[in-house]
Amino acid sequence: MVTAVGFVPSAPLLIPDLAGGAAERDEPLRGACLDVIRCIGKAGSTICVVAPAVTTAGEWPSDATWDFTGFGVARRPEPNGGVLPWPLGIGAWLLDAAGWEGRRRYVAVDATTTVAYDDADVAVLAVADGGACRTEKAPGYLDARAEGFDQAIMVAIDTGDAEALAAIDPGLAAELWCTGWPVWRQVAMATVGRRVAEARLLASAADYGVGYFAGYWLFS
Amino acid sequence: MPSVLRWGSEEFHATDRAVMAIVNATPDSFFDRGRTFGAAAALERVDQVIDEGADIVDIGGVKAAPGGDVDVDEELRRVLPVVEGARDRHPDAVLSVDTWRSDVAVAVCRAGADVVNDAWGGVDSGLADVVARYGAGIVCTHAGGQSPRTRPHRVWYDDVVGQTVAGVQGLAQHCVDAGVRPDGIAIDPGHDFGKNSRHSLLLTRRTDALVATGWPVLVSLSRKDFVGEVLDLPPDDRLEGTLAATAIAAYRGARIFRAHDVTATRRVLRMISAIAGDADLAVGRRGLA
Repeated sequence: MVTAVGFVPSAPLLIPDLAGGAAERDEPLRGACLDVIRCIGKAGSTICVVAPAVTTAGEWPSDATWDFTGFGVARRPEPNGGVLPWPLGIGAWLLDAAGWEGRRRYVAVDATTTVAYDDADVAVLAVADGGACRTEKAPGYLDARAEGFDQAIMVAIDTGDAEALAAIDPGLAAELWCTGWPVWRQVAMATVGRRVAEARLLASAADYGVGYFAGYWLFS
Repeated sequence: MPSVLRWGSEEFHATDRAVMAIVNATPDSFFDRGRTFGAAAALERVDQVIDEGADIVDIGGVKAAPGGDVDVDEELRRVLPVVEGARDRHPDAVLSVDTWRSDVAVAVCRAGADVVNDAWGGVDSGLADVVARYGAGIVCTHAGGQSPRTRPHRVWYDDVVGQTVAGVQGLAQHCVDAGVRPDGIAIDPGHDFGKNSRHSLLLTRRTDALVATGWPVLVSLSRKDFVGEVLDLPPDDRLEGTLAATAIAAYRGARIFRAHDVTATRRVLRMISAIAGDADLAVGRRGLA
């Protein structure tokens, strides 16, 4: 049963090794992500990281490790339990940074995945972004619809509105280079109809033209 | 494959280290932002770069970054007068056109262009046939499969060097199969095209891997964002970083260098040639008198 949901971005630049000398610039957002994890970690003995599938959907071993070498960095831990695709890796890295020592699950999702939460108390860590078309310098260039699209997600996170997440248009998400949509679909499927005891958007940013959100839902 | 690259009336051997000068016939390219928009201004720039010693002139009408749509007619409106004027003023110059479109390639080859510089990696399947038909040269660039004028977004390579080498070899072979003369083909790893800055740095460091394919290697490094991200500097301040990358690529065997700053690039390449033992002093006096 899902007892909490944490929302964090899936931006590679959140990882200090990838941000290079500019790692400090994103410290407030990174800090908010760690706060999210510490908060949801109090509500569950397992944190299930849910992130967009890169090539394949599925579940990875709980002792698999992050690896960002495909982005050009040299460092990674010993991959004894296997290597996570990078979006799950971002979740793993954030869990490490937040000092999470409880149980973990890693699930990559696409448009059709169904995830079962059989554990007694599971907190879902939803690793996902909004559109990548917020500015002319954005990866996906400027699309005037991007801001409203992201705004709706921010409101949904801040108000605990699972139905709003379920209502995100997948076609529009694809046009706006939003890879997070399958993750929110999962969150909505797992939580719609449940009463949210506390919902908060801790941070949001779009400095690089991509919508990032950090927040949480706690269930009674 | 052939050891000599033949473009126009010129031959480029392995250690020639030639400069391809960038001439933008656009209102909004990232570096010169319209300074040579309009055929007259672009032709002045053609005259200038040839005067500065450029070996090849590369004329482009569409900026690489996303932005307002430039269709075939508009692209031709921008580049065709420049190609015609340049051919008229400089009958023996090697002229290249930076386009991915076969429709544009037909018109500019007819007007006298010697080379098609396809920066987007063969997205137009008819381009190789056009190049073959006109006996022109081509630059086969690895662009990571991106559509023209799109930015790389979280691009992952298990082996960026291996994948880039395989990519350009595939493009070159496709050109050979289409009838392009093999001695007209150059390969370009496509720095920053479908790649992040670390990928581009690694490709610079491993220029040798591209050279080892046997195809002549062209690199386009000038003022690019990977230089900007190393130094945290805007395009106007990226000359030194560009020249550093140029020197490494040159020392490791690249043959053609696509550049904005012709004089500075030529001086760097001349120095690299001397260090590599491929060229002698211009003046031997000191300690010898």
